[in-house]
Amino acid sequence: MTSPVTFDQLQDGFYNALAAGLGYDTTTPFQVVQPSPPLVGGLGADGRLWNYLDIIPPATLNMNTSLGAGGNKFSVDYQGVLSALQPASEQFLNTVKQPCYDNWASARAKGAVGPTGQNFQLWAYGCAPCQTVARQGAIALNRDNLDPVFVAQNNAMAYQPTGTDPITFSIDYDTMLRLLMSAPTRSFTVGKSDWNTDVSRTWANGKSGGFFGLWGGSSSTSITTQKFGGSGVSVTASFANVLPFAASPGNWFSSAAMGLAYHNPNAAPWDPTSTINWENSFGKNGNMQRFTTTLLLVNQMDIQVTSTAVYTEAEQTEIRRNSSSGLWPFYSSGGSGGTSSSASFTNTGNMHISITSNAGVPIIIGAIVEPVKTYLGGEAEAAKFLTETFYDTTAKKRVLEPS
Amino acid sequence: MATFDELQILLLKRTLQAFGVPDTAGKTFQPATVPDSDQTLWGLFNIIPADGPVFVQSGSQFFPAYSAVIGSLVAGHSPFNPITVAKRKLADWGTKPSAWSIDEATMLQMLALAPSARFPFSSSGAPETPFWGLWAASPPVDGVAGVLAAAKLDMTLSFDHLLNFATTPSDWYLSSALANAYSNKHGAPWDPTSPITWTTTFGPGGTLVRMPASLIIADTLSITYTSETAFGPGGQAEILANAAAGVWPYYLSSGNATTHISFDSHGRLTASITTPAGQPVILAASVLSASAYLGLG
Repeated sequence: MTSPVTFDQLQDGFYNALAAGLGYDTTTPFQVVQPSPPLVGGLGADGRLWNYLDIIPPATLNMNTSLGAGGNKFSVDYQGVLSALQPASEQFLNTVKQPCYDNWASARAKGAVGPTGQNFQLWAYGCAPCQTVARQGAIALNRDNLDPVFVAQNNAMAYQPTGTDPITFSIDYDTMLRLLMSAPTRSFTVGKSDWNTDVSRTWANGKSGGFFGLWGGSSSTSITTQKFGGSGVSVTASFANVLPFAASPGNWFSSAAMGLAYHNPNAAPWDPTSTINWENSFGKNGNMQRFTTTLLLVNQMDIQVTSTAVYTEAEQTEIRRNSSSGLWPFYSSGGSGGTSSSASFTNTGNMHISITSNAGVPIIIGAIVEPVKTYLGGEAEAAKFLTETFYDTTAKKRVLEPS
Repeated sequence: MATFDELQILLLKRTLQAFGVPDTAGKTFQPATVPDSDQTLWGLFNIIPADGPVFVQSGSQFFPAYSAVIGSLVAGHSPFNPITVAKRKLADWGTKPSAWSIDEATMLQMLALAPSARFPFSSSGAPETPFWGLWAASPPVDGVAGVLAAAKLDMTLSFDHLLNFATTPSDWYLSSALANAYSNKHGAPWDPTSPITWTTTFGPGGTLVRMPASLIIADTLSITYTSETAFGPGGQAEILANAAAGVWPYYLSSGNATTHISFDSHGRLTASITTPAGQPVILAASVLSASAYLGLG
């Protein structure tokens, strides 16, 4: 525990204090989002909320201005990986033959038939190429649905982009708002010499996305900012409600199939002829290296920062003049539904920063972005079991073709 | 003594910091644009901007360039194959104009809830090009703009609402198909008989080298600046005659903003530009390289 001496160290200190104050240790892949964006309700609110979970963000420790931007979607990339995976042994296609299969796949994509054998059997009576194989097809489909890759593909077929059903997550906007309003209060205090500025053990090794200075719009190396960082600073933060919002992907996603793919680089179930492979999916230039698993949402934020640095009259004026563009650490300044900031000075030149946000407006102050290694790490045992069961030849004989 | 270019670069850097956009990714709009429909808003995301600090169109547009790439890729057999799906999505989309996921009405709703920002700016700086001068389409090299840049200048910028508006392409687009094309420089999935290749698409001067990721949109903009330069009667008349077409830094014309120009008894300029409440003004864009846009690396 030290007193922070530079502004960067103070940022790191605040990062650690916030993470710890919210109950996370420094190895949790926690990002602060700034400027803290409000979540707007009304038409399309679910989609906008879920988009934050579906967009795959860049890897930075502290700040993420790109949350929700860019053209890299988890749900779309996931189906790309599915296209490169092969079920261990598929009987459905051979049983029903191509014309029937094509009709079924197209009906699945439109949501006209469900994923099970029973669904197929009922539907097949109304589809000429499938009528004669309705029962045999249903048996084959039920059998194939035990294969983790086949069932993942089968379930995903109805969802965008292959199908027409929208991508959903488990908790919608209205439920989130209800949960937020009844979520617990959190507060923390950091004294002048209680700053833990070591971020070397954090998940991104202290790689920050860049910070503004003391106020939004200033350079983080300006003299006033350096002074702020090097002074005795204490922080008291309280949030009327803090909700770690962890919604899980809907039926369109199978963690078992993803885990199987992740834990078997360059081997089955990967199709060796596909242009999508382990490396360009999960490797260091891949499009699925990390996932946003939790959004940190708050209602009514109140952060008080006190500095014992002595500021000159001119410096005080500069800080006051800039305070309306949002003061460190969140930079989300006053507006209807947003947050507001103000700075005041005691006679000795000590500085006091206050950042508050309005009641009833959910604000995203952070996110947990997990590397694929931990996101799918828990699937290791399951993947091992599935690999042995479905892809190991001797085991396959034992399980699928009992003598 | 700063040139007008240096003054512009400095202001751009300062505003981008305030907007929360890394200055390596930010481009400014000259003139600032007022969207009045889904199409004018989405049209900006459809632009593949040229290199440099000003948001101007390069030779290509996102939708047609993307369509051409997808047309030059070979589909796979799996129903989930990104190329197969991408081709079908484009065929389903047909000849409709390109669209993005959040429409203008929703953007206006978000803008009304966005935070406010206010910050000062004072002059002195570092070089680069190709901005306009003091009024729309005026030559930047010399004249009154040069005179303005050469002296001390103080500015205050304030915005009642400032929104970093991010949206993603609509149903015609498939990120995994483009990422698949990007990560395979040679061979499949590229069609070897097509003149469209990795190099003509993602290489230097290619059709999809960078894409707009978000727009910085303001509501109720108010900018005031004062210069210590003493303008002579000729310079004053020239500035006043051109003010209606819009003045630096955002060149908003009289239809979209109220601009007041005044000179004190020493010929010192004060300019104030305000836009009406409820009218969105697009000031800047955050532009990403293709690989960053696709979330690779």
